[in-house]
Amino acid sequence: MREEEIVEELKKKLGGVLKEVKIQRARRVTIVVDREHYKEVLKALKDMGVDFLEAITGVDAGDHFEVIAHVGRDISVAVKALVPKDDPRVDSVVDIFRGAELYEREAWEMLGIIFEGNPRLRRAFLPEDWPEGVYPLRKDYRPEHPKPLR
Amino acid sequence: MAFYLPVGPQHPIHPEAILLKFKVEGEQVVDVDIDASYVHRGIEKALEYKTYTQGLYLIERICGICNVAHSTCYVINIEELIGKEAPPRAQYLRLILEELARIHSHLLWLGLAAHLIGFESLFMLIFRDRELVMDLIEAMTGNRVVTAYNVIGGVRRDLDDALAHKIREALERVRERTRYYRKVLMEDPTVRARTVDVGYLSTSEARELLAVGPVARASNVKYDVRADDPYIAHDEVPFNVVVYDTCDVWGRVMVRVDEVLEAIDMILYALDHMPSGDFRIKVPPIFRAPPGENVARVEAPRGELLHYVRSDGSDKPYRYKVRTPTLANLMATMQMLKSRGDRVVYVADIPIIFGSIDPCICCTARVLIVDERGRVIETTTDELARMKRW
Repeated sequence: MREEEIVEELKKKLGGVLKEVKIQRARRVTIVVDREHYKEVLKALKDMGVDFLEAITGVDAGDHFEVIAHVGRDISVAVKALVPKDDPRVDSVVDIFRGAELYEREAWEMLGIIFEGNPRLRRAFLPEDWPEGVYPLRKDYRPEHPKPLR
Repeated sequence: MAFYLPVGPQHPIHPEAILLKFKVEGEQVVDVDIDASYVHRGIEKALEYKTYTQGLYLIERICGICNVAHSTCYVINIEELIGKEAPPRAQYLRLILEELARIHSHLLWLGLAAHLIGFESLFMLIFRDRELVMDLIEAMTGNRVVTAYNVIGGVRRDLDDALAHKIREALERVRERTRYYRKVLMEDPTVRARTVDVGYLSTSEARELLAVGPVARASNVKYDVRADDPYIAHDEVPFNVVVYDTCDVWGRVMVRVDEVLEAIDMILYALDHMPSGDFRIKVPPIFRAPPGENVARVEAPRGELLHYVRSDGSDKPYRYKVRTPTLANLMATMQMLKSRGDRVVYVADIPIIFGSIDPCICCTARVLIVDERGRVIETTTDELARMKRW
C-alpha cells in the first residue's frame, strides 16, 4: 500500500473527522484528529492492514497535549490526537494493539495523560518515591540542577 | 502454592535495569509483571535543555552497545529536520560502522546466550573473536565502545586503503569462525536441548504484541527497517532479511548468527563500492532548526529504534522521544515467560528466555528468591542457569 492509497482510503472512510492530512515525504504520513476520533482512525488503519504500532509519543504543546501514535512498518503514519489540558483523557488502544500497554503507561507517567481503558495504568518507569501528580515531561516541570561537588 | 520470585533489578551493563516479578508454582512460571523504574535517567527531558550538537553526545550514552544505532538515528533525524543530507561517502561509512556494531553486538549476545545455558567454552571462544571486530571499530573510529563517529552532516573520519585491507582480512577470519559457530549451534545437543521449543512466541503473538528485530524475525515476521524503510544506502547494498519460523530461542540464536554473516557481506560489498568525495558537510556547531517535526527509524542490533523530534524554531529540540527496541520487546517477553496451555515455562529457563531478546542482561545480575514468609534467599542468574530441569 502506498502513501496516497492510505490517505485516500482513510479520507473515504472517515473524511469528516480528519483535521489535517499531510504526506511529509516518502514513507512519512501525518494525520491530525480530535481525541474523540483517535481510536477510530487507528482501528480503520488496522483494518486496512497497517497492523504495527511502533510507539506512542506524548507531547506538551503549550496550550494542549498531543498524543502521537506511530503506526506502520514500511510507511510510518503518525496519528496525532489533540488533547485539552484541563481534561487530559484519551481512549486507550490496547484492545486494538495489545502491545500498546507499556507505551501508554509511559505517556501517562511522564505527562499525566489518562488512557481510558488501559487495564494496568500504574507506575513502570519513574522511581517508587516520585511524588504523585508531578509529571516530568510537562513544560511547567523544571528539573533540579544540583550544584557540583567541590 | 504460588511464590513470588523477583528477578532483578541490578544489571550493571543494562541502561534500563529491570525488575521482573514472577509468580511461580513449583518450577513453573504462571505470571510475570515488570518494573523498569530503576535507571530511568530522564534523558528525554535533558535533551530539551541541550543544543542539537550537545544532544548528540548525550544520545550516544543511552546505551553502550547500541551507541552507533542511537547516534545514526539522531543524526539522520536532525539532518532531515534541518533539510541537509550527508554526502554519499558518509552514508557508506555509516553503514560500515553500523554493520560492524551489529556484528559485535550479536557476537556479544551469542556469547552471553552460551553462558546463560552453561556452555562456557563457547562463550570464551565467541568473545575472543568479537575482539577482532572491536579492534576494527577502534581502528576506524578511534574508540572501542562509545564511537563518537557520526556527526550532523557526515562522519568524523575517512577510511583509507590500509584500513579497508585490514577490515577485509579480519572479517574473513570472523566469517570463518562464525560459520563454525553456526554449525555448533545448529547441531550441538546441549544447545538444542536448552533452546528448541523454549520461550515460544507464535507468529500471531509476535504481531499482536508488536515485537521487533530478531525476536520478530525468529517468529516468522519479516520486518527489518533496513529493507522496509532504507535510511543509509541500504537500497544500494544488497542483503537478505533473515527469517526463521521456529518461534523459539533457538530461532533467535540462528537469526543473529545469520545476520552476522549477512553483515560481513554487506561491509565487504560497501568497501568495494565506496563512492569517492567528501565524508562530511560543514554544519555550524550551533544552529536553529526550522519549526517542524520528524521521525527517524533505524534497525539497531536489537530491533527497530525510533526517534521523534519536534522543533519550535530555537537551537534546542522542543521535544525529543526515543523508543528503544527492548521496550518494544518487553510485552512479547512477558508473554514468552508465562506458562500457557501445554507450553510450560520453567524457572531454569528464565535467564535464557529473558536473555533471548538481548536486553543487555549481565552475568552478574542478582536474583532474589522470597518465600511466602518473606525469607530471602539470594542467588545469581549463573546459579539459576545451572539448575537443570532434567
